This record gives sequence, C-alpha cells and structure tokens, in this order.
Amino acid sequence: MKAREVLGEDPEIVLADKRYDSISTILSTSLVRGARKWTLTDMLDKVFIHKALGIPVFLALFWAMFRFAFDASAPFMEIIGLFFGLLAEASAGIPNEILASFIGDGIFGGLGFILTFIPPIFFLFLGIAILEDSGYLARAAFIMDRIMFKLGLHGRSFIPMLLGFGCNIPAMMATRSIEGEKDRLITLLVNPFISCGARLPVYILIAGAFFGSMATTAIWSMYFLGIMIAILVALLLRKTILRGEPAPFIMELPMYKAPTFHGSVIHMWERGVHFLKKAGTYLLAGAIILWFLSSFPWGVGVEFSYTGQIGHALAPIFRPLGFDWRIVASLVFALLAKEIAVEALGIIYAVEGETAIAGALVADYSPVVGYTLMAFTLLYIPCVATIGTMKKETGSWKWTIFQLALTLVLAYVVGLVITGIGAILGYA
Amino acid sequence: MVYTVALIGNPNVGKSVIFNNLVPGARQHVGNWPGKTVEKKEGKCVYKGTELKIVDLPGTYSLTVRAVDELIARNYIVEEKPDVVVHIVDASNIERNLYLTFLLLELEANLVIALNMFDVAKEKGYKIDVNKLSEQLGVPIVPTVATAKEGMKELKDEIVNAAQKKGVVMMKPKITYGKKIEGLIQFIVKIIKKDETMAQKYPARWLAIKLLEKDEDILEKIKDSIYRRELMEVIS
Amino acid sequence: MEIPLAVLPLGGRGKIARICGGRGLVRRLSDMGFIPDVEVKVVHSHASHNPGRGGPLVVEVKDSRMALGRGVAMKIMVQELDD
Repeated sequence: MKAREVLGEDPEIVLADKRYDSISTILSTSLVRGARKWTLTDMLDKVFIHKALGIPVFLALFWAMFRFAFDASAPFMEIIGLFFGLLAEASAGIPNEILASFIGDGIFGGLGFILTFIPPIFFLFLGIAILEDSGYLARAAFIMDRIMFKLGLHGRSFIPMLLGFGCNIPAMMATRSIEGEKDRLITLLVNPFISCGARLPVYILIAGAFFGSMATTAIWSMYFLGIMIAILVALLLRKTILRGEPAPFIMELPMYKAPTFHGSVIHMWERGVHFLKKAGTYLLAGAIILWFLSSFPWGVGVEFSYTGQIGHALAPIFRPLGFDWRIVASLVFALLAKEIAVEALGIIYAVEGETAIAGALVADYSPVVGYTLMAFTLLYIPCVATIGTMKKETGSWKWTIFQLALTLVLAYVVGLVITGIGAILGYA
Repeated sequence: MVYTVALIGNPNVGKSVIFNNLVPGARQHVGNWPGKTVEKKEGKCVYKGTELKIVDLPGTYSLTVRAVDELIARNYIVEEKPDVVVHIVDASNIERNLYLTFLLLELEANLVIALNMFDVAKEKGYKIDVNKLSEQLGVPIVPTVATAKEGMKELKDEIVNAAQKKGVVMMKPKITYGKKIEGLIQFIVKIIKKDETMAQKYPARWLAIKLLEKDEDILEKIKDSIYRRELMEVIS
Repeated sequence: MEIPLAVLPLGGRGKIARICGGRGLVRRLSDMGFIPDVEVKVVHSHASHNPGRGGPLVVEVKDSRMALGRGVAMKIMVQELDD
C-alpha cells in the first residue's frame, strides 16, 4: 500500500482537510453563529491600523505608556531611595568598619539602587500587559511589519525594540513571541543598542556639563545613534551570519477586549517577579563585587583600590579615546547599571552633587571626550543584568559573549571615529 | 493521590487566567523546560481531597514541530502522559480552536474541554449546544468565564472525574477521517504494533498519522526501528 | 480563475484553491485554517499599485481575523467570489 497512490494527493493535506470537515459537520449541529460580530473591533481597527494614522497613534500610545510608567512610579522610587538611605546610615553605626561598609555601602547601597528601579519596571510591565491583553499589541506588530521587513526583521521585532527605550531587560524578554529563531536572535543581539532609561542620567550629566544650550540636541543624537546602529547591525547580521528571510508574517488579531485589572496585574506580576529574580541576582552579586573592588585594599582611597588599579591598567587602551583612569574606572562601575557612572564619578572625584561633578569633568576633559564618553556609554557592554538576561533568553554563552564583543568593539570604533572627527574639526 | 493535569490551548484564550484560578499564586512555580529557554509554569492545588499538579503548557495553535513551544507541548503529553489534559477553547472562535482538539484526540489525551470566554461568544450572538458538542466529540465540556471565575468548580469536578476514569474506560476514537485514510492508518498501525518498543511508547494511531504527515520529529524517532523501511515504503 | 489573495480588493471574498509554498508554509497556514475550499474575506488592506509590495493585510477566516504579510498573501491562491 502506498499512501500517495491510495489518496491521490499529499496525506498531510488530506488529513488537514478531513479534520476541518469533521469540525464543520460537528459544529453544524451544535453551533449557531450570531449576526452581531466584529463591529467594535472593526471600528477601532479602522483607526489603529489606518495607513496614515496607525503609526502616529501607536507612537502616542507608547509615549503615554512610558510617561505613565515613570510618573506613577516616581513617588515609589523616592520612598525606596529614602528607605535604603536610612538603612545605609543606620549601618554606619556598626562597630566593625569593614562590616559597616559592606552592609551599608555594599548591600544596602547596592540593593537600594537596584530596587529604586523596580517601580518603573513594574509599571512598564503593567502598561504592556494592558496593551497586550486588550489585543492592541498584535496591531502594533502588524503596522510595523512593513518597515521591519525592509530591515530584514519580523513585525514582532518592533515591540522589543521599542521597549528597549525603557529597559533592555523586559525588551529582551518580549522577544519570546518572535517565531523565527534567527529573527529572534537578531532582535536580541541589537537590543542593547537601543538607549535604555539608565543611560539618560549619564547623558544629562555630560551634555549638561559640556554642551550648554546644545545639551538637548546632544542627548537626542544619542538616541538617534543607537537606533541607526541597531538597524545597521541588524542588516549586517542578516546579510552575513544570520542569513535568511524573516519568518512569514501570519498572526491572529484577536477581538479587542477590555483588559481586566485582575488579569493584567497577574501578567505584570509574573514578568516583574521573574525580572526581579533574574536581574536582581546578577545585580546583587555585581553590587557586592563592585563594593569589594572599590573598597579594597582597605583605606587607600579609590585611586589605589582594585577598581582604581583596573582603571589604571586599562587606561592605556582607552587613551586614543581620551579616557583616563577615572573614566575607565567609572565605566567599570557602570557595568553594574549604567546610571551608576554618575555616582561613580562623584566618588572618584571626591565631590558630591551633579554641578560639582560636571565642574570636575569640564576641568579635565574636552567636549570631544565628553561626546565620546556619551557614545561609549550608549554602545559598550550592556549592564550585568542585561547580560544575564541575554544568557537566559538565548540559553547560550556563545551568543552572549558574541554580544559582549560586538558591543565593546563597536563602542571603541565609534569612539575612535568621533575622536577622529573631533581632531579634524580642530578640537583637542 | 496526585494527578498531573496539563493545560493547553491557543494563545489569547485565557489559559493563564485559568491557571491562576486553579493555582493560587503562592503555590506556583516557574522554571524552565529542560534544555529550553521557554518557561515552565506549574503548581499544585487540592480539590475535594485530591491533589492536582497543574502544568501550564505553552500556548500553541497546533502540535507540529515548527516551533519550540509546540514541540514542548507535544512531547510533554506523549512522554509524560499526564492524567488529564485540559484544552482551553475560545468559545467565540470555536471552529479554529477545535483543530487543536482534534490533534489532542489523535494523541489519545485524556481530554476535558474548558469552553472559555463563553460570555464573549454570547455577546457575539453565538448559541452553542454544549451537550451536543460534548457528545459528538466524546469529551466532557465545561463552559467557563475565567475572568469572572465562573465554571471553575465544575471544571475541577470534571478534571477529577476524568483523572479517575483514565485507563479504566478505554475510549475508542469517535472521530474518523474517511475510509481511505482510515484504511491507510490501520495498515500502518499493524506494522507499528510489530515493533514492541514503539507500540509501547507511542499511541499507535497517532504515530501512524504522524508518519503519514512525514513529521520530522517522528521520522527521527523511528530511525532505529527494524520496521523503518517497511514504514517508509508506505509513506513515501 | 485563480488569483493570489494579495490581489483581492478591500471587502473582496475568495475561496482558497491552493497554497504555493513549501511544506512548512502549507502546514503553518493549515494550522490557522487556511485550507482549500475555505472562504476568506479581506477586511483591511494597505494596498499599493503593486500587489506584491504593499503592506500586510487582514482577512477574516473561520470566525477569526488573521493578519498576513504580503509575501504570504501572494502564495495563497483563491477563486474570487462575487457577491
């Protein structure tokens, strides 16, 4: 007996056919379809996936979501910051100096810093959960597919890219809905180039110090640079090591439904707790290691601590970029979380407050170095928590290390280019 | 008595809401499917003295090997042989959802259907004769509105019922696919039954269907059988 | 006459004749309900003068709305149905 001969066509098709046939027969006796169907959804879709309106509406919604996340979480962040500040102060009273520092600066300081970011992340997850549960997110992927396709990506890659502007970690977790493995990998690899919220304080400090009235432009240029690099690297990967077409775009658009508070909070909670466990572990470990590296050898001050020593050791490599040991040391600190660079510079210069730090920077470096530093912060190795997430999402050290190398090399090269252009234009 | 219960269904049908209804948050545990990056959610709940271990399988449209999610779901059912499989169906989109039901019936899973989003179906003006549907499929069906926690008790009742019935009552497939295909299936089943390891490991009818579909994962799995050539002859 | 689904106008209906694609695509589409003899209706379409190059479209099939990329829609051959 041969299947093809008996059936006259591909058994797979026949089977699918028969299944649907059976389903139709069964439903003909037990289902009566209603006359009322998709009106509300269709009406909403006329706007949401409108050729011209679709994208602006989308951008407006996402901007609103980010605002919501950061505004709603601001009071919480204050409270957490205060709380841990108190804890840190209290632990100063511990008789053993080293232990006091470990608990005060290392654990409470590190933890406090990390935990202040939990509120915005959770609210961001809530916003996403609401958009997802309502059915809107599918439309967003749909609208962006055309553009994404030109970039060699899948429509579904757009959401993770956009989330990256808030934080790369939930962004990378969001790549799970991408079906093609290569599509997903590319989206994961380039995600850190999207300038996350943590880098903003660094830009603000540096741009404010060096560029005066042009500061805002300088900051916007970083976002733009990140997007450009992400697109270019994605295209490059598509043409070289991750060759192929994006997976075919076939996606269900569910009916719009009002998300239940209960349901969305559950989704938020799941993702949030998961994020906490993963990122939190890396961050806490990182905080302790960094505390150790900058506190020891005990009592000698930052310059001669291990962190300072690392800074000095690596400084020669970064001299072409105009970075000295102080900047390199702060970049090491920033591996923990990029916004720490600000505080780190404060510790290293032994000054407090942004104005003082800004003053110290301007005194020691040229604007070109400032701009180079901004670009370097944007592009170089993602923070520890992101690295951990990359490992988790890809399940592979190979790709994680590839990403580390990619970001580091790219940051250095772009840094050189900027320094070079600066030199040509006549700045020292 | 601990029964394993797997939850399966298309994306967007409210599966996670049902999971959360059945398993209180504190008793949930998130891990990883071995060797994969997809999350495995499971938890325990106790109902009328019976302990139910509930595993949330990834949302999937079918059980082919195209995506990691689908392979995980399928392998879990075939290899772990859960006591009950709860298929969560979107009542307002029932025709396509039932495709997965059929695949599960082929897999000879001990099925209970949760006909979820029943309120949405009603709003859409749908009228579903649940009893008739249940009778034709040969599967117990519980209408539910997970977001309002309606039908949860009845669902748990059916789950425990089904778990207790498993293996005691042999269910003959109610759904058949026409003389020609059934003839082919029976022919292949006869060959499969000659190979004891295969016959023990997988439901014969399901295996026959997968072979006809030239399922890559199954073709890989029968590679070592001495009846491989005989089987390949029929299906090529 | 068979035409690609991508060519159907907004509001147009068609009956699927066959899928011009590899095994993977055929399987994927049949999982989602796109099999021969099934009726589809174009609900949203970002058409352009070249049907192969427009944006994705949304079709109604078996009670649900499916978004399809242009490339995919070009591979689903349908018989156009008049009203």
